[in-house]
Amino acid sequence: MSSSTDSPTLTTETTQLSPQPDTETAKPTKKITLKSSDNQIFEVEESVAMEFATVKSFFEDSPSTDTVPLPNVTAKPLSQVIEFCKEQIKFKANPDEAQKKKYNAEFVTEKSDKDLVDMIPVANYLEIKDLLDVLNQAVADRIENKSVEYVRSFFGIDNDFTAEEEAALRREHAWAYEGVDED
Amino acid sequence: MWNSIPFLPSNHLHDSYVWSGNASGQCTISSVWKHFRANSDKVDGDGLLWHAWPIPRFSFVLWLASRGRLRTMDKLHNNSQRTCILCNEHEETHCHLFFACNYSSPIWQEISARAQMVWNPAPWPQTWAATVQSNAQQTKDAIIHSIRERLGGIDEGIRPPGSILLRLTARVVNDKTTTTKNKKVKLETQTWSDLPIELLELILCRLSLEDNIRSSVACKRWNSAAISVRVVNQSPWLMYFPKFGNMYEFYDPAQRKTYSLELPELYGSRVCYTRDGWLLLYRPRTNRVFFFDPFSQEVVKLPRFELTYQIVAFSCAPTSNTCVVFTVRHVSPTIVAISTCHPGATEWVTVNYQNRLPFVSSIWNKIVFCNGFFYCLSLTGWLGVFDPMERTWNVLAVPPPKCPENFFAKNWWKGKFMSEHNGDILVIYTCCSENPIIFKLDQPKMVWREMKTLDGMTLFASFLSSHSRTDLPGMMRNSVYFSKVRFFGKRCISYSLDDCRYYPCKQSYDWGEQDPFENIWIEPPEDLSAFI
Repeated sequence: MSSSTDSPTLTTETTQLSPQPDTETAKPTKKITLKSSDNQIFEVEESVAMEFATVKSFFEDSPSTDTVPLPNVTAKPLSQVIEFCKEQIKFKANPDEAQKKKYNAEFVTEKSDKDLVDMIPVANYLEIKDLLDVLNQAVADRIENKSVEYVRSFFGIDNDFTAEEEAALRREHAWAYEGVDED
Repeated sequence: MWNSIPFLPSNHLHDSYVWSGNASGQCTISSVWKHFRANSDKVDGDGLLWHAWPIPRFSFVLWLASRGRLRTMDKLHNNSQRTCILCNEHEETHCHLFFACNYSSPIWQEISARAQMVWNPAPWPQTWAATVQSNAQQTKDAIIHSIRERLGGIDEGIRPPGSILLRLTARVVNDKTTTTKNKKVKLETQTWSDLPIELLELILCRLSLEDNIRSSVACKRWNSAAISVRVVNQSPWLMYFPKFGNMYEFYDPAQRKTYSLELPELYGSRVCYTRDGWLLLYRPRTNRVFFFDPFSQEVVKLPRFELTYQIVAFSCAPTSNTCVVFTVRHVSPTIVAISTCHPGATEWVTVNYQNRLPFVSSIWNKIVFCNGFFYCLSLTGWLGVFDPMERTWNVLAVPPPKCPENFFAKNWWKGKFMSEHNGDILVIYTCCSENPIIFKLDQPKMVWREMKTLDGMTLFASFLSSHSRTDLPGMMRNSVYFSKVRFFGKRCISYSLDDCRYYPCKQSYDWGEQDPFENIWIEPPEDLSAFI
């Protein structure tokens, strides 16, 4: 108990007394190397990598390694996920719900449909719950009030129903197909 | 003699303290702690449980499992339900649940295959003993890790389908093999062209009912995922209060079915309000006020109070400790008497409030509890707000909803209803066979706005309390259901905002002929067992 209450006081004192050598004394932040399935190397700060529960538990098991292979993850979604987590760390240090919400909203609006869908399994594999929530909601919002055909093209789905089967399904809830947005 | 004593004080040295608690003679906190604490024998398997990088939750669960102390069904006092939750056949014990069950054992086989381990499933105590003695560190790690993952997941109460569990464990095992075997093992690389079903469900469960239905037509996989997370809400039922006798009828407008129940508990009482499945009733002869759940027949009494014909409502189920009962009566146009009470109170609290704007309460309940406040609509359409926490009363400076001139016909004051939806206050104005008008309070601007659509919502209006619902089946959407009684065998009439008409049409809907205490919309029971 005492150590946890003492240490913050100590740090504030040091910064007050010597604001200058801050950069010299600061520990060089540890870098962690992530390797995507297409053999691209990403160097990220340890704090960012620890946002990925999967990477974190990897280090808990084998603390000596410095390169983490991510065989299920390609470079593009990974770089976007890293970008998201970097921002989340800033909000962790400096909680501002309104700013965080704004950032999360902007993060998804500027992404293409494909980018969003590609990121979902990555966020799931790396166990980044916040990102997964943001992505799922964003995708749900994008198919809100859209036609069946739109949903198919959005996710690249091949229709495996026969025409009769599909017609029967549509008849069952005919009301739900009225008044959808233009594709 | 003197020399035989080994203690020889030397005069040329200063006295000093020496700590005999450890070899170096230096006192440290850890050596003091080791000195104080009681030591027990070293146990088997400690290195497996408490190594340098444990995940505490997993270690703890594994420790319990190693002692056979997880709370499986066979360890619980309740003797009635002892079968395994996964297969529903055998008794749930450690051995069965984690290994022998026909749900668990295929997972184990798959894990050992993927981890390239030779491992014969044995009863749990033997497995544990063998693992403790095993020197093959890698096997040990992999087994322990997968056991941890499994136990961790199950302990949290999550019972994912076998495939998810398998993926979880397989991932851990994969990670292991990658590092320990220097990536010699070729990894199964997944492609993401199709979203895994469990991720798909996470997206689909965020959709509204109609979006869910449309998504379910995309393909067969999506169909089953969408149906598994689809939520269709139940419509409220109309409860009928008989003029004589104890037989109460309940009408379900979605199924067009009628049920009946004998409820002698309600003898001599009149209904005042309903919310969350509870009725609030008043017995004029004894001034008794009480809550009643018609499906469980549970009664919650309130202190006696003389309720004249005045508006009354309550905030939530009387079983909740935040439940407040509220009633208001105008003493003069600028003074109201507000009485409140709560379950467990010994008396009602009545306070008179002065309002700046006139407030004459209607005798039929136009009252809702919303965002922590009671909102009541006066006879002429002004809105009074009571804050039960601060005990403040205020008549808002919002001009009453504007109606066409022809709305002021016979009994114009009767056909008005008030409801609430997700924090929005809604008012329904009806007039004979004219189409009803629905207003929503624009709270930031403090004006009433007419609603041309309900966005799929359904309103259920009755004199004493009105309710809103979303995600109801197709034909009931975007409509208002009125509790009009027994029109050629119909129990209720509805107005569709899509079609701008009443069903059935062309009737003179004169509310004046309706007895307001005859029926009320009520939350349907969770199951129909009360009627069998």
